[in-house]
This record gives sequence, C-alpha cells and structure tokens, in this order.
Amino acid sequence: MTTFDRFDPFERRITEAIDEIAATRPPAYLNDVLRQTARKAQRPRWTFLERWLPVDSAIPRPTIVGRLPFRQLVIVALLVALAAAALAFYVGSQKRLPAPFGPAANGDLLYSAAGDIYARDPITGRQRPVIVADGDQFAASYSPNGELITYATASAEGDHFMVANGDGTNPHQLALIPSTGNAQGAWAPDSRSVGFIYDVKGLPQLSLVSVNGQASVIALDDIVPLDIAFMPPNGGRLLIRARVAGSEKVGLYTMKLDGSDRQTIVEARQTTYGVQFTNSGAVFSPDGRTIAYNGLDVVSQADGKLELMFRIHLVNADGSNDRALPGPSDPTVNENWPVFSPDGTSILVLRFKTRGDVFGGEGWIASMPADGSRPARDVGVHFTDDKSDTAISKGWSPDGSRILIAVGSKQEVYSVDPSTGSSELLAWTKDLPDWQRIAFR
Amino acid sequence: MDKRALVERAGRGDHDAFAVLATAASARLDAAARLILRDPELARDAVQNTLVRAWRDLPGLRDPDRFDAWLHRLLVNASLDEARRRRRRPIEVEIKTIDEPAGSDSAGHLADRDLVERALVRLDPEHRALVVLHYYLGYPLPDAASSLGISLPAAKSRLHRAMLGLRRSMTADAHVVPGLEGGRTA
Repeated sequence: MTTFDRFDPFERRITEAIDEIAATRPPAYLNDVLRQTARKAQRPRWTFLERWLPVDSAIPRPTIVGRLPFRQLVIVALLVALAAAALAFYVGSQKRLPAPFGPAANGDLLYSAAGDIYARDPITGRQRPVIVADGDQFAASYSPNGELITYATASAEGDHFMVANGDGTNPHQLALIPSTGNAQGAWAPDSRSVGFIYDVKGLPQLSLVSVNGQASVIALDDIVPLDIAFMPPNGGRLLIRARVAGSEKVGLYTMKLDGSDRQTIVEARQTTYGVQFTNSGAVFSPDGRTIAYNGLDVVSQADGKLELMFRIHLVNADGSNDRALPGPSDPTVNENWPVFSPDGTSILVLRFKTRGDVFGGEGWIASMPADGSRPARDVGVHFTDDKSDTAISKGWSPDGSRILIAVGSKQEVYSVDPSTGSSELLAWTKDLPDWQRIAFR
Repeated sequence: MDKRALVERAGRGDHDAFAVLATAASARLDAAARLILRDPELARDAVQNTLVRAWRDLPGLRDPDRFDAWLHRLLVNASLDEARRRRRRPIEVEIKTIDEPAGSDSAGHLADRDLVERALVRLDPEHRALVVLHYYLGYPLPDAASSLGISLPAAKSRLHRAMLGLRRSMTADAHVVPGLEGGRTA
C-alpha cells in the first residue's frame, strides 16, 4: 500500500503490523448476508414521478363576450342563475375532489415510520395511524384525488403493492413485485389505475393495473422500460424512458396506453453515466405540452477540460425543440431531477457537486423559471453528504407554498419556503411525506 | 468480466454480479470492521449493514470505477454506527489475531503485531477508523477525512493523536511484557 512509502519507521511498523493482524479470508457469514440482500429491492423504487404535477384544467380560460340584446341578457342571466343553483345543489350532495393536476389545497401528510404508515394534519400536528400491520410497510403515496393510498409491504415472496382507502380501510393487493430489480409506479390522473414497471422473470415489464385489480400488460418488443409517467391532462398517453434492447442506449418515448402510436421524444443515446442516469428524470409540464428531463451536456471546466455534466433540458411533448435551460454559473455544479411547481411557473432542481473519488459531496435545491428566462436560484439549506451519496428527494406542497426535501443518507426531512428559502427540520419524520391533494374550499 | 461491468450489472439489479463483488470485497471489509470495532460480532453486523446498503443503493453509484472507495466509505460509517449503538455494551476485546498469518514469522513481527493489537484496543473507534482508512485501506488523508465527514485539519489532528496514543501504548507495553523490551525498530 502507498503508506509503505512513508519515511517514518514507526508508521511503517504500524502498517506492517496492521496488515498482519488483518490477514484473513472471506467471512463464513457472507452467504447469509447475500441471501439477505437477494431478498431486498434496490433503490429507486416506488418512485411516483407525477406526484403533485399540476395541469391547466383548473386554470380559468378567458372568454370572449360579444354585445347581446338586453332581453337575451336577462334570459342568459336567468339560465346562469338556474344552472348555478343546480350546480350548487349537485356539488353540495357530492364530495368535492381536486382536479387531477394543477394547484390544490394541502391535505394530510402521509409517511411511514417504524414499519407502519401514518397521516398527519400539517396544521394541528395531529397524527393518526393509517396502516398498522405486521412486517414493514413503506413507500406510502396518495392518489391524485387524495382519496386512496398506495403502499408496499415487504415479505419473503417480494413486495406486495397495496391500495387502500385514505383512512386505511379496504386494503388489497395490486401487484406482487419481485425483491430484486428496479420497480416504478405512477398513478393515472383519474386515480383509477396505476402504471407499473417491474421485473417479471428477470425482464422489466410495463403494465397498467386498475384499483380493482384488473391488469393489462403492454408489450414493448424492442425497448426495455425503465421509468413511467402519464401525460396530462387526461393521461391518455404514457411517457416511457426505455433502453433499446440489446444495447445501453436510453431514449424517451410517448405512446398510447396500449403501447401503440409510439413517438420518439428524445433519441436514444449511450453515456458514461450509464442506463440509470441517461435521459433520466423526465416529467411533464402542467399543460402536458413540455417535458423536462436530466440532460447530459459537455461543459468546459476552469482547467479547460471538458466534462459531461447534468443540465435541465426541455423538449416539446411531440419531440421537437429540445433545448437546455440556463445552467449554473459554476461549471462544476450539476443540475438535475426537475419537478414542476403546481402552477407550472417554476421548476425545482437538485444541484450537486461531487467530491473526491466517491459518489458524495454537496447537494442543494434551486428553483428556476419554467420559461428558461434565467438560471435557477438556490433555495433552502445545503447538504454536505458524509456518507454514501447525495440522495435528496423533493416535492412541492399541492398549493405550491412549501417544498419538502428529504436527505436520504441523513434521514432528515426539511420544509422549505420557496419564496424566502427559509427552512425547518421536520423532527417527526425520517421519510419524505406525500402530501394529500384536496379541493380548494 | 471486468469489475466495472460487474458493478454496472449489479446496479441494474443483477444479484449474481453483486455476489461476485461482495465475495471479492468481503475479506477486506471484515478485516477492516474488526480492526475498527475489535469485536467479531459487531464487525459482522457492520459488514452485513454495509453490504445490504450497498446492494440497495448501488443504482445511485454514478461512477462504477469508484465502487471500492464507496464500499469502504459505507463500511467505515457502518462500523462507527455500530460502535455508537453499542457504546454502552461491554466490548469483547479480541486479543487473538483474526487469522494466523501464513508462512514463517519472525519473533519481531509477532511482537509488533501483539503490541499494535493491544495499542489499537486503547484507541476509540473514531481514531481506529482513521488509522484503518489510512494505514490499512490505503487512502490518502484528504480522502480518509472525507470518508469520515471531518475536515482535513481535524483528520491530521486526529491521526496525530492516534499515532501518539499508539506509540505511548506500545512503548508502555513493551516495557511490561517480558521479552519485548524496547519493541522493534523498522
């Protein structure tokens, strides 16, 4: 080892002695550990990419009013009044639900703790158990309408992907996911089905499963699905990140829910970052017209070297006009994992700098205008990751007034004011909560 | 298959590839954990936690060529977590060597080994972790500091104290253990 080159005889003595003390062979317990890892899934899994994504269906559209005769105006006014009364009666007799995308009011916070799932009122701080059962329940998420929850529960057979009412009643299984391999899930905008990608016989399979358990498999012959999202506002198309079969090239594609009418959005490419990160992080804008994703661009560094760095890209939903948004002024900073704000005006991104020869370093959150008019500005606290990675998850509150940030390796969750950048540590959770979307009052 | 390909395959969920990597790394991980924790059961727990976490988080490893450094960093942190968790539990000090060294060994080497073992026991886990990172796993001090989440000046200071402690312990022991007076110079 390199320390043998040192001149201090005492150090050399220590080094030699430690090497002798440590001389050993593979430990006898290794097979037990490998049996344990074989039963565990890898991250990321149960990533609901469309959490809190907004849509413009809730935004009033301008109307053009021409000149109308007085008599007609009176009749129109009467009709409007009658319609409003009927609507009020109908709404009063129905439970109000939020639009599937776009800004909504903030409901409860759903999170897992000590193997069970809890909901917490963000105003009063009152929390209640939602799913309490044997084993480990995790990855809790609300449906877009806030009425249902999904979660996973681990067993020796694999991870049971469950759906239940928001109060935890009527839990039933939607899918049994193998313990190995990647797994992705995405709620359909109408909250009636979930799109899945998980391994079946060792190969990733794309499927749609309704909340009552009916499943349909979408055959993709020449591409291997990696990530999934539904296209706003009606979820009539899927956005799939996929690897070209037999290669390490990864592209972005949209298609109908049966896999037909496939369009290439971002051409498949192979990068040194591998399948996991190439063209990753794709999300729709609120109006469904634009897709933001993790681009990889060549950036000139201070020493003149060219490095492949993460930069946010926007591309039209039909695959045209792929463009990079303004990046950070510091060329050593990466920028990726975009999340649109509920009103669609801002994009939240992760910024990070790697450190030394390991995957770790400094990470923080920044917010940029979705029109790309200027670079992102930093919000919230910086996280220096002393452990394995810079795993930082983030999401907007349904009304866009808060940002929740989870630092995975530290098991810390912060609530950040996006306008001021001030943050507070949420001492009551180590898991990034999912915020329930409810209708505005 | 080269190591980089194995890491990439393991990162995509190929557990067989991960098993090959884990098997190759396990002896060194186990030895490092034993050096830091001085307790075989705690070391086993630390290695187990390291490999479980490595398998879980491997898809997040950006550069496959950094697998070893990343794994060692996980191991050191898992070992220190174990040490903190069990701090109130009496540590079963392991005086015997982990494995008998192969081949012939001089009395001087044996003497040094025993002295260093005894001296290591007297260091706290944080100091031992730095010694193991630097002198056993071979990391330059800036990288060792980074792995421990401390500044380079703090690492230098900690290593200086550790070496001072080792030197004092070994000198003291050498004077009380018959036949080891004066220790051995390199």
